[in-house]
Amino acid sequence: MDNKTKELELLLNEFFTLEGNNPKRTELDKFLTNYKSQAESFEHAKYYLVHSTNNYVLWFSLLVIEHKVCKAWYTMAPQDQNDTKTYLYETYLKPNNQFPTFINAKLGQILADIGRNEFSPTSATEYISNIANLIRNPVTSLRGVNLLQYISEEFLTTKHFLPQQKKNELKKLLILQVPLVISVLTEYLSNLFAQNAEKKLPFKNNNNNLSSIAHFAVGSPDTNTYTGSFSNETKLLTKAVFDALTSYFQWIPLNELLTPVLLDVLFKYLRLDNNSIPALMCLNEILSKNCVPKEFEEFLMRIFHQIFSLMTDIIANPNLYNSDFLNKFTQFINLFVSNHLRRVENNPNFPISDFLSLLFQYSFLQPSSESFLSCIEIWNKFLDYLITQSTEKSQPAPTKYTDGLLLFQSELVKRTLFSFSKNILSQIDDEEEDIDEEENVETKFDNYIKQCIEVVAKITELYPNKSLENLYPLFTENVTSFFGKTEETIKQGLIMDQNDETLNNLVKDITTILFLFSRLANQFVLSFGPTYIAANFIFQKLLDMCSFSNQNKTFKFGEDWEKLQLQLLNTIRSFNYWLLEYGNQVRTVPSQQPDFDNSISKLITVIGPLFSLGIPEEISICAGKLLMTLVVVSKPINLLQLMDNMIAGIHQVCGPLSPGVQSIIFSAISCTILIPPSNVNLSHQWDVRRPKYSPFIKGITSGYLELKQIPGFIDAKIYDKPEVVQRVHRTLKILKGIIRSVPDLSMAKGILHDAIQDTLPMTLELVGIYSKRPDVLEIILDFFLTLFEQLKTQVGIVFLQQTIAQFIDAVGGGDNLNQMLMNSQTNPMGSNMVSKLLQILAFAIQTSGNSFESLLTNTVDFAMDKIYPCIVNSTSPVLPYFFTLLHCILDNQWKHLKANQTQRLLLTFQNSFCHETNVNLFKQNLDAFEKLKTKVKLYDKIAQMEHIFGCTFITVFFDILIANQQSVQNEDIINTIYHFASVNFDKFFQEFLNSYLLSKQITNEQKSKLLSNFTMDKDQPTFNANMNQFINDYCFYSYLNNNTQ
Amino acid sequence: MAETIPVAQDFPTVKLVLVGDGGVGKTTFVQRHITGEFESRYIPTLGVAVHPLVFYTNFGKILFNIWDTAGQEKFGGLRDGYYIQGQCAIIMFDVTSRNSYKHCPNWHSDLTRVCESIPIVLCGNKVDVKERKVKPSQINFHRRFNLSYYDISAKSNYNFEKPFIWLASKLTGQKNLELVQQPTLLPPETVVDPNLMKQYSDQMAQVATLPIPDDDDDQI
Repeated sequence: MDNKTKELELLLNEFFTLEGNNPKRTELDKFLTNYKSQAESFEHAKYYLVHSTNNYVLWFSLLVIEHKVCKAWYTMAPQDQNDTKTYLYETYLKPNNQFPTFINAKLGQILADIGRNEFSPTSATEYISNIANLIRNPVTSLRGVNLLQYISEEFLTTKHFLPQQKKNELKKLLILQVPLVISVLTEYLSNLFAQNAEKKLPFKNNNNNLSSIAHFAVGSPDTNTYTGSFSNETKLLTKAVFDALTSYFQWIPLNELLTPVLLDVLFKYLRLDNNSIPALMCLNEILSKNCVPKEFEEFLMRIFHQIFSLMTDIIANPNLYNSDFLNKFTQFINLFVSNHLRRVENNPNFPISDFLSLLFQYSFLQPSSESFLSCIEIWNKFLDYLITQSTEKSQPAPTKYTDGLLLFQSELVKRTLFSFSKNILSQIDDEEEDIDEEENVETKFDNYIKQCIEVVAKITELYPNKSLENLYPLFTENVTSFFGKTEETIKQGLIMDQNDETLNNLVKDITTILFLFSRLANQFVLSFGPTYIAANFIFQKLLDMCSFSNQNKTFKFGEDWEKLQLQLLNTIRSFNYWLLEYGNQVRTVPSQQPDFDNSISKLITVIGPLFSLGIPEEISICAGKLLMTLVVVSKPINLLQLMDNMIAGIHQVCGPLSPGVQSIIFSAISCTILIPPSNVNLSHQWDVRRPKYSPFIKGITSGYLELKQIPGFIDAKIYDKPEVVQRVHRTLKILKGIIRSVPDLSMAKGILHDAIQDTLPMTLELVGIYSKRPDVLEIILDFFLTLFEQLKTQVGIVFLQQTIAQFIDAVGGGDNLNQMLMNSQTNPMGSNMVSKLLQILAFAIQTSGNSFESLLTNTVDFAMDKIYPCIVNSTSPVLPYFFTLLHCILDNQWKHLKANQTQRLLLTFQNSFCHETNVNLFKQNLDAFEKLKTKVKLYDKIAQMEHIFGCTFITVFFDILIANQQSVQNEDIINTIYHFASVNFDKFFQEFLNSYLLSKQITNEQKSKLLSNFTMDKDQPTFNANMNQFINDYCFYSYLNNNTQ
Repeated sequence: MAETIPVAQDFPTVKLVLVGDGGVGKTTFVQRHITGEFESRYIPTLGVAVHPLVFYTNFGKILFNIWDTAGQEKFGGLRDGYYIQGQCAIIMFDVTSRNSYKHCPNWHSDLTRVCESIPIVLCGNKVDVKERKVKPSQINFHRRFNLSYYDISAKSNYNFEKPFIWLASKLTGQKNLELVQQPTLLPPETVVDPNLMKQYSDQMAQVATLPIPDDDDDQI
C-alpha cells in the first residue's frame, strides 16, 4: 500500500504541475476519475488518509470518501458508517491539526454531507445542539462555526446529488433549527465582542448641526463607539461567524428568523473603531432582500438609526474609516435607499431631510471619483423614486426637498467643472476609450460627466423652474464670456496654446455646460412660453458660437476644441423639438415668421460650411445628422425655400467627401425635398417638390448609369477594376441611405421610385456580371433588401421575383456555393452575401402572400437542396438566417405548403434541436416554435402528424433536459414542453411519460418513482415544478447508477 | 506545497480557475485568445482543460494558466479538486439565463472553500444577445462578496481583457496596471452594429433618432 500511496502522490503532483493544456493531464484526469469510482478505492482512501502527509493525496482521499458518502452511504454497513464518521470527526476536530484550510473545509463539508444523509425530524435538534456545543468549546469553536456554514450550503445544494423530495424535506427541517443556529452564533459573536472590545469615551461632536439632529421614537440601539483588540485568531473566528450568518441569510425567511439581539450585535461590530467589513457584508445581505413584511419597518428604523449615527461619525472623522469600509457602507446606504426607503419615507419618525443632508455631506467627502459615483447612484435612485411618485400621483414634486435638492444640484454641477474641482477631475482618465453598457464609445471622464449630469437633469425634471433659474447663469456667465474672450484672443493675433492646461480645462468645462444644456433642452419645450426668452437667447448664442468656430476652424486648436465643436452641434440638435414647438407657435402669430425663418436660415448657414474637405469627418457627420434632424423633426415651414441654394450645389459640395459623409448628407437633402411641412396644402407642395427631385437623384446616379457604356465593360472585364467597383459601391450605398430614410408617404415613395427606376434593371444586370464577386453581390443585395423593405408597393412583386431568380441563378449551387460558404472565419464575404440573400427570401415570403406559388416552391427547394447541405453540421454564420427563413415560410405560408414540404422543414428544425450546440441558435429556434404555437397552432399540428402526440419533438426536448445539454435554456425548454403537453394533457401524462421512460437506462423502481412524483396538475407553475423535479431526480438516478461518475 | 507551483523564470505565472454553469460560454471565452484553438460549437468540457494566456502589462508580462472546468456535474471529474492552489478565479454566468446567475453563489462558496480570499471576478457573458434576461441592475451578488463584475461577450470580444486586468492588478497590488499590448484575439464573430453604436452615441436623450443611413466610414 505504501507504494500505492507514493504512486498516487506522484500522479497528483504531476497533474497539478503540468504546463498548459497538456494531453497528459487529460489522461491523468481520466485515470483519477476512474480510480475514484472503483469499489476498492474507498478502502485505499482510508489508508492514505492515515499514512500520507501529502496534501494532494489527503484531498484526493477525501474526494473518494465524499463520493461514497454522497452516492452509496445507505449501502454501507452501519459499523462502516460509524467508523467513517468517527474518523472524520476526530480528524476534523483534532486540536491544531496541521492541515491547510482547504483540507479542513473538505472534511467539514463531508461531515455536513453525512449529516444531510442522516438528518431527520427526530435527530435534527440533537445534531445542531451537538454542533452548538462544539462552538461553545473554545478548542473546537472555529470548526463548529464552519460546520454550520457547510450545513447551510450542503443541505441547500442545487446539485443533482439528492432527489427533489429529499431536498424539500431538508430545507423544511433545517428551517426549524435555524432559530437555534442563529442564537448560538449570536451568543458566540456577543462573547467575542465582550472579550475583545471596549467602549470608547464618548466622542465629542464638533459639528453642531449634526449632533442636534433627530430623536427617534423607535428603540435606539447602541451607537457608542468601541475600541477592539482582536487577535488574528479572534478575527478569524468573527469572520467565520459572519460568513456562516451570511450563508443562512441567503435563504432563510428573514422576517421570521432575524432577531433584534443579533442585529444589535451586528451593529456593535460596525461601531468598532477598526471597522468590521464582514459585519457590514452580513447586513448588506439582509438589506438586499427586497421582499419584507410590514413589521420590518421597525427593523428598518433601527438600521436607519445606525446609518444616521455612523454617517454622522464618518463625516466628522473621515480619516478613521478606510476606503473598503466606506465602499461597503455606501452599498449599505444604496440598498437601504433602493429597497427600503419607500417603506419608511413617510414614517413621522423618519427624519428624511436630515438623512438627505447627511448623505449630501457624505457624498461630497468621498475620496475618489469611483466612490463619488457610487453615491451619485444612490441619488439617482432616490430621484427616480420621487419622479415615479409624482408621476403616479400626478402631483408636483414634494416641496420639502426643494431647497436641499437645488443646493445639491449646484454642488454637483461644480463637481463636473475643472474651475471648481480640478483636483478630482484631472485624475479621471480621459484618454482610454471604452464601450459602456449601451455601446457608447466614451472615456471614464465622459462617463463621470454623463452620470452627474443625469442627476442634475432629474432634479430639473422635478423642479423645472427653480432648477433652470439655478442653471441659466452657467450658460450666460461662462459660455458666452468664454467665446467672447476667445474671439478677443484671436483678434489680437494670439495663438491658442495646445498645451495650455488651464485653457484646455476651460474648453472641457464649456463642453460640459453645453452637454448639460443639451440634456435640459426638453424642459424648454415643456414650458415653452415662460422659458422662450431664455431658450431663444441660448439658441441664438449657440448658432453664433458655431459660426465663430467655423470661421476660425477652432478644431485646429486641439482635440478638446474638436470635442467642443461636436458638442455645440449636438446641443443645437437637441433644440430641434424646441424649434418644432417654436414653428407651431409662429403659425398663430404670422408676424413672427421672419424672425423664425431668420433663425432657420442662420442654422443652415452654420451647417453648410461643415460639408467640405479639411473638416474632420466626425464634425461633418455630426453636422449632417443635425441637418437630418432639422428636416425630419422640426420641419420648418419654409425650409425648402431656405435650402434652395444648398440643394442646387450639393453634388459639387459632396463630390470630394467620403461615401459615409455623402450618404448622410444626400439622405438629408432627399428628406428635405420629400418631407413637406405639416398642415399645408399638400398637392401644391408635391407640385413644387417633384421637379426638384429627379435632377437631385440624377446627379448621384448618372456616373453609375454610364458604366455599361464603357467599351469593353464586360469583355475586357472593366467591371472588375477597383475604380468601377468603387463607383458601384458608392452609388448603391448612397441610394440605400436615401431609400432607407424615405418618409412613409405614398406620394414621397412614388417620387423616389420614379427617380431611381432607371437604376433598377441596370443593377439587376450587374448581379450576373458579378456572380463570382460575393463582396459586390452583398452590396447589391443590401441595396435590394432596403429597396424592397421600403418601396415594396412601388417596385412590385414581379420585379422582386425577377431579382430573386437572378440571384439564385448567380449563386448557383453545389461547388460554387460550397466554396463561398467555406471558411467563413477567414473569408466572410460569401457567407455575408448568402445571409443577405436569405433575408431577401424571407422578406419575399413574408410579403408575397399566396400570389406566387412558384416563389414558394423555389424558395423551399433552394433553401433545402442548395443551402442546407452546405451548412448542416457546421457552425456557419448563415445558420441563423437560414432558420429565420424556414420560420418565415412556416409562419406565412403554412396553408400553401405541401404536406411533404412542411414535414421536411419541421424535420430540419428537429434535427437542429437535437444536434445544435450553438446556444443562441437553439434559443432562436425555440422562440420561433413558440411564435408558431400561437400563429399556426404548431403544437396541435405536430400532435396530429405524429402518432403519440408529437412524441419525437417532445422527446428531443426531454433528452436535452436530462442530458443538461442546454442547461442555460432549461426554463424556456420547460415552457415549450408545457405548451406541447397542454395540447393534450391526458395523453402526455398517461402515454408520453410512460413511453418516454421505457427506453431509459434507469431501474423500474426509479421509473415508477419518477412517474408517481409527476402529479397530473395542469397549471403551469406546478407543471414546471414537476418538470424540474423530474430532471433533478432523473439526473440523481443516473448519477447513482453510473459507476464512472 | 508552494514549491510545486511552476514558476517561470522571469514573469509570474498565475493559476486562474474558471467556473460557472454548463453552456455559459467558459470555453469559448478562453479560446478567443489566438493562442488557443478555436471551437465555436458547444462541446461540454470534460473535467478540466488548461489554457495558458499571456498578458503584457505596464508592470511586465503575466501568464494566466486558466483552468477551464466542467460546468456540468456529470462531466465533473475531480470537481473542486481543480481549484486547489487557485490564485484567482472567474465565475461566469449567461445574461440570457436567470438560472445560471442564480447558481453563482453556489460556485462562489465551492470556490472559497478551497481557495480562501482570492480575487474573483464575476462575468456576465453573451451581452451581445438582444434578449437579455439578467439586467445590469439585477446583478448585485458580486457587490456583497467583494467581487468585481464585467459584462462580456465572448462572441464579440467585448471586454475580453477586463477581468484579467482587474485580477492582475489585484494580484500584483498595482492599482494602475494596464495592458501595454492588446491581446491578440480571434476576429469577432459578432460585430457590434456600427449603426446602433452611432445611434447610441447620440447623447441627446430627447431627440428621436431617425432612420439614418449607413454612416460607417468604410473606404472602398
